[in-house]
Amino acid sequence: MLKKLTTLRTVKLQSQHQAEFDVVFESLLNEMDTPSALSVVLIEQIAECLFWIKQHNKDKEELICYAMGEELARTMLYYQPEYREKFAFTIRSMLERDDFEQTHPDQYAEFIDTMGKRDMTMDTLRAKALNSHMGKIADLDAVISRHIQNLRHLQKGLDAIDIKKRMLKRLDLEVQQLTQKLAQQNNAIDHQS
Amino acid sequence: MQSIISPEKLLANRNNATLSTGPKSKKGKLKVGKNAISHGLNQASNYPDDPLYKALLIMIETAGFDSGDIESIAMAIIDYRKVMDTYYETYTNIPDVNNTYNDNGSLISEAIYGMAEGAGDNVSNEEIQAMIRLLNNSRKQEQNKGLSPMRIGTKLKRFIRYQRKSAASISKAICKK
Repeated sequence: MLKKLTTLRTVKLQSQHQAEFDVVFESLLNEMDTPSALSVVLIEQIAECLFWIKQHNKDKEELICYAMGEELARTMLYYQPEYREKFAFTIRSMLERDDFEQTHPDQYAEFIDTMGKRDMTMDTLRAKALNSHMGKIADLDAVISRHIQNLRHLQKGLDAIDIKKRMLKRLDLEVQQLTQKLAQQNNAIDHQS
Repeated sequence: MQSIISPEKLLANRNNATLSTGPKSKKGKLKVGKNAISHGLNQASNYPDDPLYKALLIMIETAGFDSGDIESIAMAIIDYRKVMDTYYETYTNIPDVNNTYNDNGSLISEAIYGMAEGAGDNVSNEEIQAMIRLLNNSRKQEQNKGLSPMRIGTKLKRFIRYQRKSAASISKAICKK
């Protein structure tokens, strides 16, 4: 379906993001019965907003993982970035995969040992990280919230186009009905005369 | 023409103005001089030159809008696209953290060590303290900037006002009675 719309595409993303965007766009398009070209343009913008909301939520999770890594490295007085990145990778992998302990036993053991030395749990570390990076998380939240509001504006526009389309269809039908009536009346007059 | 504020107030304003009047160094002036042209969203658009404009005009006309509304809707969509394209470009161009700040730290530590070892008594306490300050400052600077995931919000926050304006203008233009 998207192949037919190549000439109308307004949102151009890099290949690593395009596939994800296309999935959202196509699913939205499938929900519409017979969208007009302008509706498709607005649906594309809505899909873009949804893509950004998803993307920024991922960014936020990554930020928290990095912040946790940074926090842990700081408590151990490890200022080199490789420690932060290593801890951040471990935390992210642990949160994403249940089998991290089996696949990366050395990293897991090192991480648990470091946490134990500082008498920390994942919850306390996350709380500390959130607290120290509140400003940056708030910035991302503001950006996400803006996309939600953009989506509302675009949805409002799409609804207006849909209503207009229905009104036009109704007017067309009324005009067709009136023309038919008029033709019938003309026929009747001709017949009488 | 007589001033409408009192002489005391005028004097206070002039004194206050000397406290903060933007950057003073050449480097600082050069940096803030580029603020207005960092993304080009404040520039007026030349709509007819946009390849999307004509296609949009046709689409909007087909959707049954009045001739007066067609242009304003097309312009609103183009403005929105301009903001979102710049937004995406900024997002994809967020650089990875430059590790020189960290390298600076280790270089300075080595320098302090080397100076203390090599030059012996010639290194004064003030010099060492100045270096430690420099080391701490670079650490703080690096910490404030954060790793690349931490820069996303800071970099993209400035587009919020442009998005607000352009998204609202789309719905306004379409929903106009």
